[in-house]
Amino acid sequence: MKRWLSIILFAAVLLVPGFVLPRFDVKAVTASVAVKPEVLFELELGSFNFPISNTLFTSWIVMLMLVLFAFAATRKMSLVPGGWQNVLEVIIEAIYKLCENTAGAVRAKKFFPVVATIFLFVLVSNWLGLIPGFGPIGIIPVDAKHPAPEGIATFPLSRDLQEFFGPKHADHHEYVLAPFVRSPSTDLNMTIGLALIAMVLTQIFGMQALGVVKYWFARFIMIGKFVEFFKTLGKGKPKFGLFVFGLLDLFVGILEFISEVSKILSFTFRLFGNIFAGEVVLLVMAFLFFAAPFIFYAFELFVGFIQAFVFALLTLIFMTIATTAHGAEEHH
Amino acid sequence: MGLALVFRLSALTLGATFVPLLIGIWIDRAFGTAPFGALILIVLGILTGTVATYRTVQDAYRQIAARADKDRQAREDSRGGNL
Repeated sequence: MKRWLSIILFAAVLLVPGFVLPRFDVKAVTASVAVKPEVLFELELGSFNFPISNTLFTSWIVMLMLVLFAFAATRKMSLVPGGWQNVLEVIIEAIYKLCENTAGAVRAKKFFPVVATIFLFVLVSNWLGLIPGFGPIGIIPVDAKHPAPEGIATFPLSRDLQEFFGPKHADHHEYVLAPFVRSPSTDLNMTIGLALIAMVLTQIFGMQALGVVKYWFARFIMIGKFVEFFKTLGKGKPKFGLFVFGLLDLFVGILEFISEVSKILSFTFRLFGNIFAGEVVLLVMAFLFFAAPFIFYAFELFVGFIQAFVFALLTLIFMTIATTAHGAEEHH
Repeated sequence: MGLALVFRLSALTLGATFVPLLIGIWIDRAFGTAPFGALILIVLGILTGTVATYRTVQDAYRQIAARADKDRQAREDSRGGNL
């Protein structure tokens, strides 16, 4: 009896939109893949229009969810944790242990807030994109006031659907869907913002720990050997070996600098590529075979967790390296 | 139980997403607030659907666990009877 009720309910939910949605001017469009986040609306700030994209909107939801979760977990604190407090304590303890093991007890206190924030934010935004309803439902900004943004891949509407929509939409051969909500990790702007925060903080922590001059001269502008060479030159007994090693050190310093910059790029594209590709794979699999997405769905849950973990762990490791003096420098 | 659960979950996900969407579109039409009505309501709908799905699965899991417990109890009882 209960089974039949469920099946009838399912059929109703499946069929009723077919009759109700057209009355509300809701249309079905073929799937499209867009790297650029779609603009939902624009905030007018004087003469400047600030575009609010769907990924920015979703990142606000992520923040709201994290704040509400933290509030729910810490509202009624008890010595024996239960419910949300228990969940939060498990997460926080695991991340704190990781920080302590990698950076040591003193630096862990400093790095932990950044690392934990990055982990939770990236994890929630990765997993949010997997919830049904994220992606396929949105507005079609094709009228004169909101023209279709450039650079978005669109697929032409099939002939059947064109006829279904009637002569009113016959001139619209393409529709661009701007989903209401889309995972922030599928937006390069968010990932590069997070990468910049992580790397700039790494440099600042390094300078705080070692001192600005020492940090720069021990890492990037390594002219110590040159100075020693000129000292020996002044004494009249030049050691040319020092000059050669000085040149080598100078080159290593440049390499170090380039590697610092490239870390931003690798942070940015690793997260973006993994999550964006995952969502595209889910979309493609859904069109291949109806049960195929199940396997990839589980895989994407795993990837979402791993990417959040990798982002947080690499930030932690880079911060630890930046605040550790070079082996040779410690003896001076 | 299994099939009913699958259909109930599908109905829950679809219904929780589409019903608020339609209400949102109706609000936008009536008050001229596009796209904010649909935007806010669809987010609420998706989150409600997720929470409801989670609760449903948890309830079903509890039922299955209780039934498994009862089955095991019954099996042990019958085995004791044979001895």
